[in-house]
Amino acid sequence: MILFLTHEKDIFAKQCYLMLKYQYQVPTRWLSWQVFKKQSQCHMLGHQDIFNAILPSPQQIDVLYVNLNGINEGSKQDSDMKDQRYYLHSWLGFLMWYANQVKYCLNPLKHGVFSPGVWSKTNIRRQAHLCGLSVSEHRRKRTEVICSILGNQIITDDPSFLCTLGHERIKASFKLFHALELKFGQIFFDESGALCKLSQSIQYQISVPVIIKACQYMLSKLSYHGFQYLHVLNVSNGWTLSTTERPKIV
Amino acid sequence: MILVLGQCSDQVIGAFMHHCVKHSVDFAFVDLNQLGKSIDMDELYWFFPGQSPVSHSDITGVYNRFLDWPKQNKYQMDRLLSLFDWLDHRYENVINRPKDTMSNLSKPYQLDIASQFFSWSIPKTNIIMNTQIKIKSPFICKSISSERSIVNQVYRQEEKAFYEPALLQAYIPGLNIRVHACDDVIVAVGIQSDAVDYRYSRFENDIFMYHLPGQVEKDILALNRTLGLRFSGVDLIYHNKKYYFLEANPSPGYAYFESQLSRPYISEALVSSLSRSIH
Amino acid sequence: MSHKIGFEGYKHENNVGFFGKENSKDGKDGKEGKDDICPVATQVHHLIELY
Repeated sequence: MILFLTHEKDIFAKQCYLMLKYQYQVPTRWLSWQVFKKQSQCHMLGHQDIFNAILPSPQQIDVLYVNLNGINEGSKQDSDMKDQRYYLHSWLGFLMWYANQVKYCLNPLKHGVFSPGVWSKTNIRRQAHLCGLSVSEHRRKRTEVICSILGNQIITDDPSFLCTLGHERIKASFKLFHALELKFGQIFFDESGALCKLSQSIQYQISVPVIIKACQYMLSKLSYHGFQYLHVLNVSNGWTLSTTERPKIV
Repeated sequence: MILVLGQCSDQVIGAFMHHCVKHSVDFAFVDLNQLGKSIDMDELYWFFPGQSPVSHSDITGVYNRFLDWPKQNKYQMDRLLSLFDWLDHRYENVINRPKDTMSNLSKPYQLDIASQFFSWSIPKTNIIMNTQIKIKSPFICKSISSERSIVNQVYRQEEKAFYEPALLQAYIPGLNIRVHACDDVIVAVGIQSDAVDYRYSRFENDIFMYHLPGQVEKDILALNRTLGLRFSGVDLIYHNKKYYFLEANPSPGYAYFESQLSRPYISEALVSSLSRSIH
Repeated sequence: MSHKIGFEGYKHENNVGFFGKENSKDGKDGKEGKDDICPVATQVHHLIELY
């Protein structure tokens, strides 16, 4: 199963969800933070068969798409800061466990990412330099090109820009994502190919090719006991075992 | 020189600095409430009021006890973020790096990692939310995250409502053991208490040196390595000849335990670890 | 002479002794040195400007 946990306005996730559910017809669920936070859930550590009224156990989920943006939706706004922090940490504490139980999480939710020293401008700049990317030094009114990274693929609305970037910088972009433990996200380049911004979710230029590639990537992670699901067959006029594989008994 | 990071309300830091003073160990205390005000830093130096600048290169180790975000303006926030960068990436010798302390943000996440070791068991643990349950055997209830919760009530037959996610864990009676592990040094104490949660006992707890089996010690050191922690306070319970693992605290309040011992074993281990270069 | 930068300020703020001397047991959190600190998670920023 593919489960989407995100906010209501995550257009990228919504489009992927609909395509996976209705075109590829794979088991898929969508839960906004607001709905998710109201689900009755019981999990027992180390066991899969605990009674659970609505949601599957994390072990039954092949791919979890999680976007923490909007996780505060439905929070207890009337409570004081200390209570709000406790409430947020309770959900983060649960999600950190949950996300690490599923087979594949987009993006991975390892504990280090919660340190302000990791997902920070300074660290990302440093990592970018280490990977061989240059970083734009000044905010200027200039054109920015957005490249979406979806696993092992890079897509942009302006394909000629990929030539400008060149093989080395594309390789360095994947290296940067690997260093930051990201699978999906977007990099903003200026016209010279220097890094301007980095997003850990797909928020801009959500084109059809981006959705298709993202769905294909998620499908590649759907695995049933040693084989990979691709799609539903629309025709029924073929043979599973061909005639030559079914010798006639004389 | 050891850099000590924390807030004035933290008595653990006080005990550590007192130990340093007593043993003529050089240190500089950064009151995080003063960072960006009377205390500042740049790429090369720390600046303390009335003192010569302290070069980053003179700092042999950092004892990090970041308690809470102080109230800050934009400049102070920038300084705090810069400090996090130094702690996570630039200083060589930090106990502990912020990014490594975050495993404690989720107790079940940490329990899953601890369950890979065989010298202890994990108490039966449930995560429950938005559910009304009737309890049928003794359980305790505690926060799922690193947020503090007082665990002094044992539920036996009651109905209980769970709203936000929380842990319902089998109540294990027995002897509480706190193990402080700093690099390769292990100091274990037993805590005999009348309370379920000894931190909130109405009476004095009896604290005594405890001798752990060698395999438990090895597993604690291996767990620390797995979590990236160089200093932790591991809570165990000994019951029916078995050890149960409860949690590994990445910023343990060790001073309370040490004050009951004949020697400041833990402060000594910290000073030793933070005084040496680990290049 | 050893450096103990910031120590006087700390003592001034607290105005109490230390463990093994005058342990202050007033029942308040943080006053007995047995408080394990909870790490404080950062807010999740999704788009980082790198200029």
